[in-house]
Amino acid sequence: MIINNKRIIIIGNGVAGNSAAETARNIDKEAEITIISNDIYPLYSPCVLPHYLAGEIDNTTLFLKEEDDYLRENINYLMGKRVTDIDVTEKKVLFAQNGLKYDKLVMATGCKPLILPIQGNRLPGVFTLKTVQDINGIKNYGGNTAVIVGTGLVGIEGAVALKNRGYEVYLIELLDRIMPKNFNIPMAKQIKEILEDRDIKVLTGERVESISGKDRVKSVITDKRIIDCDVIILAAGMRPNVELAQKVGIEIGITGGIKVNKYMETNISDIYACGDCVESQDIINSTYSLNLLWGFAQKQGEIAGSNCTGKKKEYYADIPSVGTKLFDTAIASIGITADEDDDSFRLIESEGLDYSSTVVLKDESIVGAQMIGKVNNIGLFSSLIREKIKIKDFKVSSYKKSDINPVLCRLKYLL
Amino acid sequence: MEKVISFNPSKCTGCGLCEMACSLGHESECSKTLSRIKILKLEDMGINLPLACSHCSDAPCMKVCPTRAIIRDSETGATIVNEDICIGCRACMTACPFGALSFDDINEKIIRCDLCQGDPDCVKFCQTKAIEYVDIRKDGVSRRRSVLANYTAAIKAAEGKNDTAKTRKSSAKNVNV
Ligand SMILES: Cc1cc2nc3c(=O)[nH]c(=O)nc-3n(C[C@H](O)[C@H](O)[C@H](O)COP(=O)(O)OP(=O)(O)OC[C@H]3O[C@@H](n4cnc5c(N)ncnc54)[C@H](O)[C@@H]3O)c2cc1C
Repeated sequence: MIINNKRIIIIGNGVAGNSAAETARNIDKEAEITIISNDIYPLYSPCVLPHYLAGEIDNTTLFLKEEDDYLRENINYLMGKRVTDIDVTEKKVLFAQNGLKYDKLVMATGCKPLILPIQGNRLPGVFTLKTVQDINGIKNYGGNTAVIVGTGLVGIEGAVALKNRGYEVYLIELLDRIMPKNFNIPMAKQIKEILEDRDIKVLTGERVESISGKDRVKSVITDKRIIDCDVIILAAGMRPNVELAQKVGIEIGITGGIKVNKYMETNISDIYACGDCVESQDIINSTYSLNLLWGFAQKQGEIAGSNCTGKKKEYYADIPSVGTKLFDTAIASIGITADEDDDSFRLIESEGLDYSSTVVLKDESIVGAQMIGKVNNIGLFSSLIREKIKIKDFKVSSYKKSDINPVLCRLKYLL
Repeated sequence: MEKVISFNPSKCTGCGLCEMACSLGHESECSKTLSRIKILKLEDMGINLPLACSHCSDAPCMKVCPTRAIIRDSETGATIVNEDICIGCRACMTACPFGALSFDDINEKIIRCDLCQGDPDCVKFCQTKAIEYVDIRKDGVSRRRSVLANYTAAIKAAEGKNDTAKTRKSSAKNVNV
């Protein structure tokens, strides 16, 4: 049932907040929908920021919405306002001496980069990679040598972008391999080689201890060496923005993200949460984790937005996947990345001239896949992982022809 | 009326004319790799399986696209790419459960079926009517679901035909691709 004439307030102008607002608007033409965000821009995608940094796109194509689009969708957008408190009994959000009443509230506050607690971490020349302001800051700062701390997706894409901008680039990773969340050691080694071929210096198993410089960055000091540089990018992970939620008694999970049920409801009635600020369930292990990905945020926003209007919709666990292009080579990873020495997994590896792939099995069911070179088929794995298909189900011999579906048929040729 | 491309593997000879027509129409050259439709030849089973975008109702590619470059054509219901804002990140390829999207490495853009603005070339060139453009089934099933179900039904039918003449009568349904 749709309850009309509601006041829906959404905190955060990222994809989660916008998809919540747009979904609510599509269902309920009457509701008063307001997005409040400390952002000073209309909606844009952080995923394209590395391309913006590299200069491949400019600020004419950076934004996904213009201010007029909010008007057209009849969504109020209060820009540049940080919500400082929520009165959950009066149902009121508080910002800059203002208060605004809500009937339904959506927390879509996203995440922020982790600032390593080391000496010199606030010196001019130290940047993060999350917002348009960050990128403009790097572009205006200039310099010749850049050190990137952390080799997740953001760090790697940042390294490629800075290389394309003409910087000499160092990538430093504490663990024994790059992209440790998404690739196992042999695959990560190949990715490292792709980067090294383009003259990016990749240092693994190395700890950044401090940053030196007087009034701007001069060098990075690790446990193994000193690297002189102009720019440092901290890309050692993201943390959900939950201070506000925590302050008003919204329950936070052990992962650090807001706890929500399948309707994206928090423990406080009429408050929903979605996007990078929540933790979500892992389809394979049924454990909770942070999946700070665009697709998750978009989908969760839709669910929260729909439920706000009274139209019940459930969120189903998604399978995390990442993909990107490193110069000319595409890479992609989906599901679980097994460690080589973990006996509970079995790996099927294959390699050709221009590709390599690893499929991860647990109890003979597919739980993950990693690909370098040819990545077209990685999507097939999402169906297989979701449906917990056993590997024997597509061995030709034990294959019941009448049971085949096109996805399985294609897979038979991949494994 | 919204229409979908429907494919019947039991009629497909695997001639590849659809692929050529598709590539010629979109890219002005005959290239299998630039075709939006692909025929998967399962030699050991004697089946030719077509593969193209199903234009899913709840399309995963649209959701993952970080630039919202994939939009739905209000006329044809096709999911199409706005090439001006596609950054070539391949997230949609990764998300497509059919692996139905390909990549044009030269122009760095995703290539996918656009239903030729409602007049698909592959259909026009198919000699055996294995590919047809038909009204979407009005049973409320999502496009993707009906694709999978119909694929299986058609394969079963094709299989039956190969095995014995007796099963030939079994429901040779069309497949929506
Ligand atoms: C460089 C980079 C590359 C990426 N690449 C990919 C990729 O290839 N694929 C992928 O799937 N994902 C990628 N991601 C992740 C993806 O961008 C995020 O998952 C997604 O944007 C999250 O959206 P969100 O709406 O939850 O949060 P956000 O976009 O972080 O939005 C949160 C908003 O809330 C506002 N806010 C927070 N607190 C308050 C407050 N108290 N008051 C008012 N406003 C507040 C913030 O200012 C912000 O505008 C990338 C991220 C980065 C940084």
